[in-house]
Amino acid sequence: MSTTATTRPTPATAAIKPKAGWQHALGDIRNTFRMLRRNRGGFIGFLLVVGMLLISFVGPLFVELDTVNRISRVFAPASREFPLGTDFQGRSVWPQVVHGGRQAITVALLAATISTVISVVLGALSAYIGGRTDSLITAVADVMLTLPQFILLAVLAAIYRPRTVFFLAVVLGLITWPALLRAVRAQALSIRERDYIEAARSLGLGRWHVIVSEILPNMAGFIIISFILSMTAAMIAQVNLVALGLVPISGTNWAITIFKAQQTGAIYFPDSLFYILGPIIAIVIFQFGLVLLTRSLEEIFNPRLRGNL
Amino acid sequence: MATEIIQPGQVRRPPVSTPAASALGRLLNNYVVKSLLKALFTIWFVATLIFFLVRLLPSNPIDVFIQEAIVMRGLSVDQARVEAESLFALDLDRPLPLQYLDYLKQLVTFNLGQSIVSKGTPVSSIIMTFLPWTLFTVGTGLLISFVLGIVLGTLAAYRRGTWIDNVISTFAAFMEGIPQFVLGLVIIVFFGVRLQWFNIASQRGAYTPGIEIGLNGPFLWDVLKHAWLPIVAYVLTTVSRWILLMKNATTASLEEDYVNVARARGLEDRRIASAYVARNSILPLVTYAAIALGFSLGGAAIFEQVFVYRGIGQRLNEALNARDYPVMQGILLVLTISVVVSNLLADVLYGRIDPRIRIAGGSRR
Amino acid sequence: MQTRSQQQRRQDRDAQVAARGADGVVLSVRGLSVEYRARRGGVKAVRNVDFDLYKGESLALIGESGCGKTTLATALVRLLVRMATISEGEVLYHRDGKTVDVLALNEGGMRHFRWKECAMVFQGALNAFNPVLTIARQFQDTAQAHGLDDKAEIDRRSRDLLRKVQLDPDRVLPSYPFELSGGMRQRVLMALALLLEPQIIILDEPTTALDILTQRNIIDMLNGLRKELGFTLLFVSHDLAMAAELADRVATMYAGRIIELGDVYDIFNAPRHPYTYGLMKATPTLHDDASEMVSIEGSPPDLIDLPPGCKFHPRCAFMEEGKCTTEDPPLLEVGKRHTAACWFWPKVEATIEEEKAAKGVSRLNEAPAEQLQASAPQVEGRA
Repeated sequence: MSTTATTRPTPATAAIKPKAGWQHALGDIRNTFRMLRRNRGGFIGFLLVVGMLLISFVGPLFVELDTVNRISRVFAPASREFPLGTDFQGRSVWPQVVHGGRQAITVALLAATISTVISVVLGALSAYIGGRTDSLITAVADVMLTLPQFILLAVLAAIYRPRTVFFLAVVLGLITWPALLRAVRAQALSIRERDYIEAARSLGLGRWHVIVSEILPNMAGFIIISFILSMTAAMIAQVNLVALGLVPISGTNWAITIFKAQQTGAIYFPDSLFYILGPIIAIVIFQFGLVLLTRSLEEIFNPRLRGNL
Repeated sequence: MATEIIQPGQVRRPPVSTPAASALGRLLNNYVVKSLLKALFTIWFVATLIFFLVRLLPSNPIDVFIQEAIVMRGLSVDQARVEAESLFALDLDRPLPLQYLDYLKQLVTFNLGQSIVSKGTPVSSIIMTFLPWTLFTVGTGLLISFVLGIVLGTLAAYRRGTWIDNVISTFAAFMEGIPQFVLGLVIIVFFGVRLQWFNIASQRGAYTPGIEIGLNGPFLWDVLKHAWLPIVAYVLTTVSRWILLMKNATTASLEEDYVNVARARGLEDRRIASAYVARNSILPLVTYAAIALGFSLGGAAIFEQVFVYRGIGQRLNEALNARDYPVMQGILLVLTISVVVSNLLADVLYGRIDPRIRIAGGSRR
Repeated sequence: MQTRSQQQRRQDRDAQVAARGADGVVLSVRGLSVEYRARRGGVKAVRNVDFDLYKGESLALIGESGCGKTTLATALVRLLVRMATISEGEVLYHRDGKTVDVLALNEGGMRHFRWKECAMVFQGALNAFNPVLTIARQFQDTAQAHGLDDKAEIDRRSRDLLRKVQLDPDRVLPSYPFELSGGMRQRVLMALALLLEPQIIILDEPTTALDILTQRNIIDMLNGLRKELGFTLLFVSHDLAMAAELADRVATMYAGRIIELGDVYDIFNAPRHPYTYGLMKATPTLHDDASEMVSIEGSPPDLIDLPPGCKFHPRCAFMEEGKCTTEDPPLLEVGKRHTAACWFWPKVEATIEEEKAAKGVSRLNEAPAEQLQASAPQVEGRA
């Protein structure tokens, strides 16, 4: 198969201004924060994400998980005692929302990390080595991009019956890398042509040195955006897989709380409105924050706001 | 001074090489042929992937059946084993390479095997029964969301920075991160249970049982009444991406020199907006259609479950939970082929509407 | 390439001016100012500009980048970017005894004014055409937008004009823009500009981004077309060589203002504003000796926070404390059809005369501006 090799950078990546070295990358990050504070949507997104991270990772230290079954108080409405009401076993929902974020967010973070690492490493290698390696990597990425990923994920989960949701993170990471790969490769190709990379190579600096110290810092902004986007995608896939009952329904996780609420018919009880809305709102806020963050980062890194698949 | 009448060679057409030597090369370089080969390769790749994933499992469907027989029907381990062996007339003991060849042969003839659970039912007939409903709802949903996304994205780009843009862009950002399952539940809880805008129970299925099936008014109306809920859901989950893509593409187009020159040429705003801005902005969106279809088919597995719509997504869930491997892999394969084919169509369509590809050949990426 | 002697040109010019009489003005600009809104405040990109464009003439706007020449040209057809507004001034357009207030035209009127009366050709012809429409279709679009619906007539005219710009219509018309080279696209754009027979054509940097040979061709083509069709040309360039070849008159802009305006040979041979003088000195081919080439010290002023008095005084060698630092000079009469905004223009004149005497030649007669090559380095690079 002939590969549809990209030799020009995609507009989105091309607009990100390259600079040399990690110091610059750090300076860029500081700059980015300054600009983020000025960008209203981005700042709100930042606050939402940080808020949900605090609730999920620090909140459990203050709110104890309710494990008492109260047969007489199942599906209780919201009250002072149970801020979001109780679940199908009469346990308070509020602590479940506080505790449910840790696992959900960790899965998303892990999946995004795996996917980002794979795409950056393969993308940089592909661009840097070129030739057959490049053709092969881009061909595989092309094919993977065409697959209905969630269906594939569901089938994989059904076949392997994972014991933990972390399996999910790994599989997610393993199938979502191609989208970012194209962009990394294009960016790396354009950077490779620049003089200072030639200079670094002629100085006899090794391949990895060039990639790590020159190519990666120049793509920092782009990688951050892709990382966050991978997180939202992982969160979506996670909730959906739980909904299909294909990952173990154990532990405390926003997705599991929602799934149980639906399974036990809580969606039909007027009193249980907050039981079902609690974890939903938590997910929606977190996701909305992430998306707002990426949108404004895109604006910051790319003032012309080109399309970005 | 020099009178420069252009020579034939000056117009940049793709180089024409000697006919005999490179007839094959030219054919392989043809845009459509390239896309076709890529599609075939993808289908083969997925078929092979599925085969090895399904056959190289650590556990197999018989275990599941036996376990269920023991737990649900209280059979002893031995009884369950005997029943399983008679029910699953599957020869999983054959050498793998032979199984693989058999499998490929059957694929070509669209023989996808039989369901393990509902014994005797060919997978292909299951797919033929359920797939049309899903393609109908997903296709309609995508079409609506494409048009809606283009309209809203264009509006946001033309009114950049105004409240209209803020409302549209915030809505798009909000919808972007919402899992299908969450959206489905919210629709049911708010619009079905609280507001009672529709009756959840009568929404179930692809049509009301017992209704006369055929090309008649009442049936079609009934189909629409059952289909609108998933369609709305597909629109809501995909429209945000179209909006974003269209807004960005239009914003970029609006700053292109040729748009500015068109204004200087005194062209009417409507002509500029349609033939100069929109036409160039929609082009890159076409290539996203296949990805959107794949995304929507993934959503079908969720929405059909939540809304109890009898499409391929719900059938897939059944197969997944029962570990009905032939059905599972058949559906995965057919859905992949749908995406690949739509990708191919998008490729060809793109080649038709972009003269740079139609004339110069080459790749859109 | 034809070389006319300096005297010949001067005589032609006198005859031309005499012929057009008092009412030869096609565009008169008075007190035009354009401001950009920036975070730090308003940027005064064009300040209080006055000039008249005469029928059939060719006027060049020259100056360093950022001096407002493109903004001024764009303001004339009201196609400024969103952040820019025309804050003051008047632009009057004359045709067949009728006068139109361009700045008062409504959207529809403005649409008809553009291209039909005044064709503004932006910089960067490479991207001037819609990539997904054929050239023929874009000619039709243009004609139809101005009420010309007869396809045969449009086709006839397009072919005629394409031949005039030395292109083969059979090849060009059915082509898409990406099939044409940069130089060809520039020619097609020129033909398109002539399609509706506008009275005025405005060109912004018509030859930038083209190679030297193509630049040469375009300049010759423009001169030929002008002689044949008699349109009025206003063009923006930082390429002095091009201005020397194509212009009848030259206006030097600095910090958003026209600071010198005169016939082309006067501007090149007897500049009276120190800035114009500096530009000429910064162009090597005006001098026999490259070592004499001197670039202008310093950089253009901050348009948000302009210096008091003459805006050029911080960079000016002729500057004197007092008048120059407090009072912005108006355009003063310094010769025949020649004005300059400098309090001490006689000092500039004396310096130039001295220089010439030192060389023992009178440049006025012996250094025809035509000798400049199109390849002369552009002011931009060395400013």
